[in-house]
Amino acid sequence: MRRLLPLVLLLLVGITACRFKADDRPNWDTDLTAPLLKSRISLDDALRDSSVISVNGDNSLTVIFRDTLVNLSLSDYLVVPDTSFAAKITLQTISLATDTLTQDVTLGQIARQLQAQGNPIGTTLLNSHGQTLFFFPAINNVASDDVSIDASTFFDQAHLLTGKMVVEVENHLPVTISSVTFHLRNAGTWTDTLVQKTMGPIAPNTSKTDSSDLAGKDVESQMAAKLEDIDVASGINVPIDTNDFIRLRIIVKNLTASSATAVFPAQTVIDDYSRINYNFGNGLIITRMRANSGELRLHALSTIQDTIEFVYSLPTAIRNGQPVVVADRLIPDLVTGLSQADIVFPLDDYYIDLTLNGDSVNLFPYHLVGNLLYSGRKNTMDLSDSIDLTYGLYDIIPSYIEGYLGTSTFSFTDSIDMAFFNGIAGGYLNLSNPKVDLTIVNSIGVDGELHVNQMNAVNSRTGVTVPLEAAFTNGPTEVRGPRLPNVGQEVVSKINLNRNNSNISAFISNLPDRIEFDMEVFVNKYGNPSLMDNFATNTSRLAAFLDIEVPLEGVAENLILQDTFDIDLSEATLPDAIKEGTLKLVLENYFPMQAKAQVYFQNTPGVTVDSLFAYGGEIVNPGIVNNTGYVDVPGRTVLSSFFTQDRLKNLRDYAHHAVVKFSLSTRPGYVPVKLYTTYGIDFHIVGDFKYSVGL
Amino acid sequence: MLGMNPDTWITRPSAMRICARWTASILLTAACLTVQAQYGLQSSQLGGMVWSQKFQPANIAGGEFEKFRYAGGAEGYFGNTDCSLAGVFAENGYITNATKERILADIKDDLQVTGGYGIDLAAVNVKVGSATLAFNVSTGLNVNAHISNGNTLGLLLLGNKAYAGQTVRDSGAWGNLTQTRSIGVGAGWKFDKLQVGGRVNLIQGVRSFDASDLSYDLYTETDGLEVNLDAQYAIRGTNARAGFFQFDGMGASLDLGASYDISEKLRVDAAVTGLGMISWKGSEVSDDVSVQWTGISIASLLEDSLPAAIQHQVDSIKNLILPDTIPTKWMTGTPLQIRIAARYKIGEHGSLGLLLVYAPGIAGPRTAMPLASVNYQHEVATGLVFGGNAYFGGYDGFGFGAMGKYTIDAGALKINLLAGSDNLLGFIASNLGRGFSAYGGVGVDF
Repeated sequence: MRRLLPLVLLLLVGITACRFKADDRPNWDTDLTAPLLKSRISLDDALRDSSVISVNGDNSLTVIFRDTLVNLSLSDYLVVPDTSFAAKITLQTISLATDTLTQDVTLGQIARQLQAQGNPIGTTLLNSHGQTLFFFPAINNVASDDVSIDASTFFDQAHLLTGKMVVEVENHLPVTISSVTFHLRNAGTWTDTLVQKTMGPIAPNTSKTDSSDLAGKDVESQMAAKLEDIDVASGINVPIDTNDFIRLRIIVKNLTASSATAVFPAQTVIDDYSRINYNFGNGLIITRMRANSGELRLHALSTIQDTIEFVYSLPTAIRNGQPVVVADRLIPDLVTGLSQADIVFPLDDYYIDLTLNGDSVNLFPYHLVGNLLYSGRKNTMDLSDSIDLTYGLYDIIPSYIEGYLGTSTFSFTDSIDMAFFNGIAGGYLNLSNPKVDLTIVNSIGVDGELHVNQMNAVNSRTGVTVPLEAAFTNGPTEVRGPRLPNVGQEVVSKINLNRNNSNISAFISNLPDRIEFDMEVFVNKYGNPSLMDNFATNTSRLAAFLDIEVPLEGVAENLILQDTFDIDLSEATLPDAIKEGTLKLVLENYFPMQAKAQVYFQNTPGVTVDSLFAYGGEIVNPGIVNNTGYVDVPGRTVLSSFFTQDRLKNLRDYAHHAVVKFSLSTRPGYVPVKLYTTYGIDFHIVGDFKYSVGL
Repeated sequence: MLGMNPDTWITRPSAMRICARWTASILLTAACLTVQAQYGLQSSQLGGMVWSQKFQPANIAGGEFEKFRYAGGAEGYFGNTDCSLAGVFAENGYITNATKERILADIKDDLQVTGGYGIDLAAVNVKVGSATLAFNVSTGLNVNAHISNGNTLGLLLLGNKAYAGQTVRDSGAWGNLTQTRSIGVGAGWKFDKLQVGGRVNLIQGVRSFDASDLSYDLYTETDGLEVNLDAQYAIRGTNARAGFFQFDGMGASLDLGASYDISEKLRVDAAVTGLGMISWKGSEVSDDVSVQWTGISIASLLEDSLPAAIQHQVDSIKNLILPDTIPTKWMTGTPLQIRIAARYKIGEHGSLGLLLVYAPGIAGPRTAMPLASVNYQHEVATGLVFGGNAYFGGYDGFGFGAMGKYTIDAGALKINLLAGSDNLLGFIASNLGRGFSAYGGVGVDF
């Protein structure tokens, strides 16, 4: 018995301890219900672009839409090309100063030289001063002293490219000079002869002139001139005045240099009067133009150590009676010797006459003058010194042109988006009374012709394309423009499309998201270039608009309101606790149409992995129409979809997108109904889940 | 399900789920016990055994041993004020709809639930002179909860769909959970007919969760199109921690007791245990929530940015229901019990005991009213004692228990075995019992 007692105790403990096992912890199911989502699909939502929706007085809806098919403006006709010119001015075109030097040789000086040479005639002449000498003997080989010429005020050295020296000898002696030799030489570092000329005979009180070419000479500012080999003829009864003289006059002119250290005189270094001959293409002839914007740009860079003054003018570009005149100076930096200038001159609102005094077209004259200013400073320059100039007209955008705009063809092959039907994924809405106008507006002073080759209503959601069939698709439509002086006038032409003259009803009822068109505009097809009566302003346009006005009234058949959005349940853990559940859709349908509701769950490639309902969806009752044709009591429908845990897990693992789809059809019967802003489908999604609770 | 973010759809808590969580936590903790005890109705009558000292410190000075004795054990309990446990702890644990309906039919307003466990890792007595010293190392967990309206439990068991078209409300609900470790040092003395004892316990707070003053109104629209919640709550809790030396509470308590032998057959005793406080630190979240939930509102299903719209609304709800937590400190009482008992020897081997217990604190086993128990123990053979008890009061209302103790005498060494239950009804007659308890232990005397 005693041995059994511990077993009895252990049994007692066991009864209590093992009464409950870990796996037997209490657990139970609860039924939870909670609203998950509520929303509304309305007609406003389906017609995505609310800006095109017009609410009528009775709250019915009309789609009013306008988009541009064709738009020609001044910029399509005319692009004024930029013009640019360059000039390089070197020292070769810069002149040195002109100078004149005068030197006298008196009879006394000649007599004293003879005396010094031991010739008794010298003494005779000196002693006969104031007397008449019966016989004046001939004198030969007399020479003057060197006459120093100091030109340092003008230059130090120069290598002359061109130049001329003119020597003039005036005989103020009482006898004839048989011959005299003029000798000019450098008298500084160099001593070479520059000019040596023999002239004569020279009668009393007459003069002789001769010239020499200085091209290629190297000259210094210190020079010496001398009259050599002066031969004087004999004479009878010759009054002697030792103050009588021979006058030497040296004139230097037309000096240009390849290199020089000199004081350069004021001079014009560039004078360019020319014209820009514009070629605008397409036979475009412009007689007058007003610049809306644009600018004259001038850039100058100079290594010349003197100041250069520029004047650039556009004599036919006038604003407020004044032409364009731009002036600036290149003032050299004293350290680097360089100078530059950048000029930007706006041409806004300048009126430009391109006729060059009325007898030409497309011509734009300009005048550039560059002057070197006298500085009084000696500067060194050579042929490498230059002035680099770039100047031109840029970015000219006209605000008005006049002339002949040429014969052109503009093609417009494009499409316009009509996003307001994008919320309607499919189906057909037979609209009762759609209206479409093709409106053409022309304010360009030119006539044209519009050809509509093709126009299609494309519904890319359904893949259906409906071509437009109307009169203007079968032939050209004339487009008239205003005439001078009616600048700014718009000539409007409107072509109405309706059920009777086109297939516009089928065209719009296709609910297109895109209208494709292929159109051409022929400009000046019958224009006369000699009249020069075309014009355009920067606000002028030749435009064609598509005006659509669609009262939303008609018969719908499987009209699909649909959208796809992302869902991601991959992180969800609840399905382990949710054994099963029901998604309950509570719908209130204000459309006077029966709807079929469905939600598709798709994976990333777009493959449907589940759907809320079987067989394409469940029917939602239509709203109840009152005697005025308006739905004020919605059709209420409650739909349920049962989910097992496996189905929930399938959604969690594979569903990445949800496609919500309502398919509307006019039921019962096919009586056209008006659609109002208040129409829509209110829906609530309620989750009824069996939730397993475990302790 | 359309367009819902699963992170929010599936895992975001709602106010109802918050209620469910803390209530379920309490129930979970209470229900997963394997060895339970309640008030030591019979253990305290074993005056010579170490196990009795937990309930009556004066017994430290009792018993016969040479120098040293040791005992270890465990105990657990569960009880509630209203319903029996029939079907609650069924095979495989699944609570059927019939059980739920029976539970909901049984419960009245002001349902109170209590549960817990204790593990005495070591209880050691050493004789030093005329005194006996006692050292204890133990750990335990106590859970209490109260709901004022039975429909709150109905929400937890049935879900809100059963209450569609109705408003379910509760106010003044509360719940708490306290897990502690303690080290006790005590001593007992015997003076002729009088025995006195006392013990000081240093308490390490492992975990505390305190939800007080929970009130709510929950309305579910008939078709489930709308759920309205108005709720007020204040929740304090320690932060989740792991490890022996990581804790967020510190406290101390005092146990005092005395017994007196009026005659050779009659002994009376009284004890106050668990007189102390624990200071906690953790986080607090409180709010006054009013939510009208009609589902995630998408202005238009044909909008392009559904996920963003859903996230925004779910975040708004989350922020509304669960505001940010703030750091806080608070005090809780230790499990206080007041006991008065009398024991009368019947013959050589029997003893009849009367016991009154009152546990007023909400941090431990708690009686709705003083619990009165009648116990009888009989030594059927040398060292082998069987006992039985019947009690009235307490959460369970009434109960019957049984125990057995066996001492194996191996010369200088005595081995003690103990097993029993103060309330066996939850086990053997769950259609009657509203609770159960169990305890057991092993000890040696030198």
